[in-house]
Amino acid sequence: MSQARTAPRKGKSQAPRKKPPRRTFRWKSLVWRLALVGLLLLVAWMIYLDIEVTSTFEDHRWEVPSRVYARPLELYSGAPVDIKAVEEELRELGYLPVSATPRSAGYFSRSGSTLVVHTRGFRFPDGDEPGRLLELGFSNGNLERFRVLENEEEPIARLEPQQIAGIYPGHNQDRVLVRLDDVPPLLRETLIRVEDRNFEDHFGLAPVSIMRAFVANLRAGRVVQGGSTLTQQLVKNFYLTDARTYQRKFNEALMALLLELRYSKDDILESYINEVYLGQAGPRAIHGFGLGSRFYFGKELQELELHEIALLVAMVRGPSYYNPRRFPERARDRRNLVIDVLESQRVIDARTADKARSQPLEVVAPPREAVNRYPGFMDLVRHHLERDYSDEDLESAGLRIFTTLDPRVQESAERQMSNMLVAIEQDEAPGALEGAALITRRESGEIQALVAGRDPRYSGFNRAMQARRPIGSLVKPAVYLAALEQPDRYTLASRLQDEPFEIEFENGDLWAPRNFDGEAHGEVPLHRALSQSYNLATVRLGLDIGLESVLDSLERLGLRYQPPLYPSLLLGSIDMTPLEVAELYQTIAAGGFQVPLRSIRAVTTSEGEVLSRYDLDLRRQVDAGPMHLLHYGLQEAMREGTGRSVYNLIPGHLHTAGKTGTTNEGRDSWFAGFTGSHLGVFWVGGDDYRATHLTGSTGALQIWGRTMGELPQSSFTPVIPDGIRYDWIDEETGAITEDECRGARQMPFIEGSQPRERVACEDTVGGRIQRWFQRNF
Amino acid sequence: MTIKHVLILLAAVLLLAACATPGDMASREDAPTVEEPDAPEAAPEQDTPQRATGSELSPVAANLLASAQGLLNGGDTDGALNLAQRAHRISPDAAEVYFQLGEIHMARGDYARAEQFVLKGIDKAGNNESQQRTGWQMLVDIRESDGDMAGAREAEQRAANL
Repeated sequence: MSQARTAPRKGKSQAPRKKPPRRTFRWKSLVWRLALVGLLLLVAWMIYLDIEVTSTFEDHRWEVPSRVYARPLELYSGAPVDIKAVEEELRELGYLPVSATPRSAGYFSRSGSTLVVHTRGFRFPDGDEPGRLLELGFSNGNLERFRVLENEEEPIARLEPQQIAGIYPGHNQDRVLVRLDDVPPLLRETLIRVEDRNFEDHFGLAPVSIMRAFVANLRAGRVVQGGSTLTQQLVKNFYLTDARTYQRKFNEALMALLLELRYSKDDILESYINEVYLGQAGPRAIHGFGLGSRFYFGKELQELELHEIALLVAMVRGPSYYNPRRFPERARDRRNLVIDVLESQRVIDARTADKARSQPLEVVAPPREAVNRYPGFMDLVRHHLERDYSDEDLESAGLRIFTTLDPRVQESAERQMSNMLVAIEQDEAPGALEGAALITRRESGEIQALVAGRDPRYSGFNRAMQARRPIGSLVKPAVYLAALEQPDRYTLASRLQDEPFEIEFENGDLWAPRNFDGEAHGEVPLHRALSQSYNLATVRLGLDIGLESVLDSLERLGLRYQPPLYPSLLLGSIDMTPLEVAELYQTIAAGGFQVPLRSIRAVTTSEGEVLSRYDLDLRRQVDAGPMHLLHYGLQEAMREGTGRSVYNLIPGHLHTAGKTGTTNEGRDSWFAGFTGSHLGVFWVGGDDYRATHLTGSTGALQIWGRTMGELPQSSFTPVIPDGIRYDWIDEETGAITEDECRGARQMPFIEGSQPRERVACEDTVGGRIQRWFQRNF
Repeated sequence: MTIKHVLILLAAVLLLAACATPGDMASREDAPTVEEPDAPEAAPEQDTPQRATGSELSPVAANLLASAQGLLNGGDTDGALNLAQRAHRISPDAAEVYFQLGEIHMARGDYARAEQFVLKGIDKAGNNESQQRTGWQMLVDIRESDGDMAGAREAEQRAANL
């Protein structure tokens, strides 16, 4: 260092005359160079910011989560829905009750058993449903009278569907995009008057406001005031952090200028309206006035009144501080301040202002769409969507996903599952039992409900989709179907031996199946072996027709993988998820036609353009004749067999068909069955495979019955197909006997397979008279 | 036992027999009854668990099908399919719905699918011969369009046999 200091001194004394001009030149040159470098840096920075502004503005503007909708409620004369269910649906959708005839969309009135509803319009995948005034008259648990006031010809209408979930990007921002054209002019006016009076005239910055803020900040020694225009606020929300530094202000100003250069005022305002942060719902950030309107008022933006618009604009300044749910007084004061501004600037007159100021806040409870209401069902939806859509599209392309979920069916299944598990696990440790369920529409395979476990809000292990458990006796219909498809060998009246036996395997192991009650029942008719779920008779039958035949029938019903072919397959030593079981039973429920299960009806863009549709499909897998015989056996199982206790839970006139399933030591309790309306597959068991005291009928069936019992139902009454005849069969001998004979039952046969033997009807004089009477009257 | 006692007994038996007679069997000749189950508190059955006749199409579903046909005539098969599927949710057991769906798939040139829907419709028709004939005749058209002449003749035979 000392050498360096001394050296210039030496230089100075050696060349004193040349030094001054050179020094000036160097100084000027340095300044110029620095200025040039600064300018280049600024230009580079501007270019960088410009790229940032344009690219992000275009992309960011449209980053909208996908919305997932339930099925819409269809309203028409004869619809199987009662007034309570419709009212509940309306409330879920944010409709508000009024005492007189509703004058605008989103309101309804009730008088006795009549509802008058002013529906909102909605864009469905198959077209626009206009908003209409409907009169709905209910009786006997049905919608009996449907009328569209003003257009009596219309026989049917749909309510808009409930939103059941959103698929959010990583930053969890949620918004409902609105076009500027659809924004109420009053909202636009209020926003500009309150937040940025000179918005229409400035170039992104308001120098006067900035100077005022600058002075205030200088005096305070820190940043205490902002002079931000709407453009600057938008820039801040889009690109910058919340830090109040001069550097950030500098960037903000530059970007605001660039934004104004690049885009029109309307573009900027539209973006602002969709971007503005208005609150928080758990992890989900509420952005934009479109969603804000739904979130705080349960209404569409177009439906808002003055005092509601004023509140939304009031909240822009601090959505947490002015949160009307938490700080209603504070929010009300600020709202009234906004109304004052509108009045003082003559946007509204004094009377209107007074009226608005006197209004309560009218904020609704946070809507349920705020959370992922049905995480179990959503797993299935995501699983189906993954085939056709990327995560990125789902999280940001604003897709609209129309699902098959029926909230009423779902809520019922969830509630019954949770309540009944508590009730039936009396003998177990609390919480030891878990459950899963699927409910579909019987003929269409649309999944109306999926329960993934006893806590329906828990998003994790999805038992309906992932718990692969042995299905026990649920496999038996496949065994009997394989037999009944050979009418020359087996009919419902065939005699089976329900007697113990042993099988010795090649390795010397012995297998000796047993009946559930430990008893052997001797010679039994085939239909009873099925309805009473006799293991011994079933295994003998299955071995007689061959495991290959049973596997073939399982595959035609919908089994997708090949299980090992051991005799124990005949008693259900095959692991399946409730979803896979539902696929199998759907084929049975739909009369032998395989119907793919669907959770989605259609996917559209946010504009309504259809991207994918998932239509009803079906393919015959089992002939109508054998399927009819199987239906007979499964109906008998419900009336007389292992499922009969269900008639404590459902009306006696409701015809059903189904099968219980229990695995060793009650580790799994299954029931799969259907009414005319729904197929339901229910499973109960421990995640840890614990032994329980349950059977299929004391566990899963009880939940199935209670769920079906509280839903609108029709009977399952299959049509007798061509080539099927009914004969009276003597139960003792399996021979044909006289009509209505005591100890005989009428059962179906594939033409030509009915028994050839006849027995006389031997009953009392009274019985004969009764039969004569029944035949003739 | 006197004759009077026998007559009283006979009358009582007849009365009981009349009470135990199930309902509208006359209108459903083939339809069987099933014994009252051994289920506690079960209400008596009000109709038979199987049916000879198919299900009726509800008026609103009929209306939707008519609109679907209108769209189909105008060449809008997607629109027609939407309406027919709405009708299917309302009347999923009516043969007409499946025939309409079959017709839509046929118009789309998807003969395999059209055949499946028509087969389903025939299953649902029950003892309604006119509907069965409609179904088999549709199958004649579908199979001919698909080049399956043997199948078409078979369907023709089925229609003729009704």
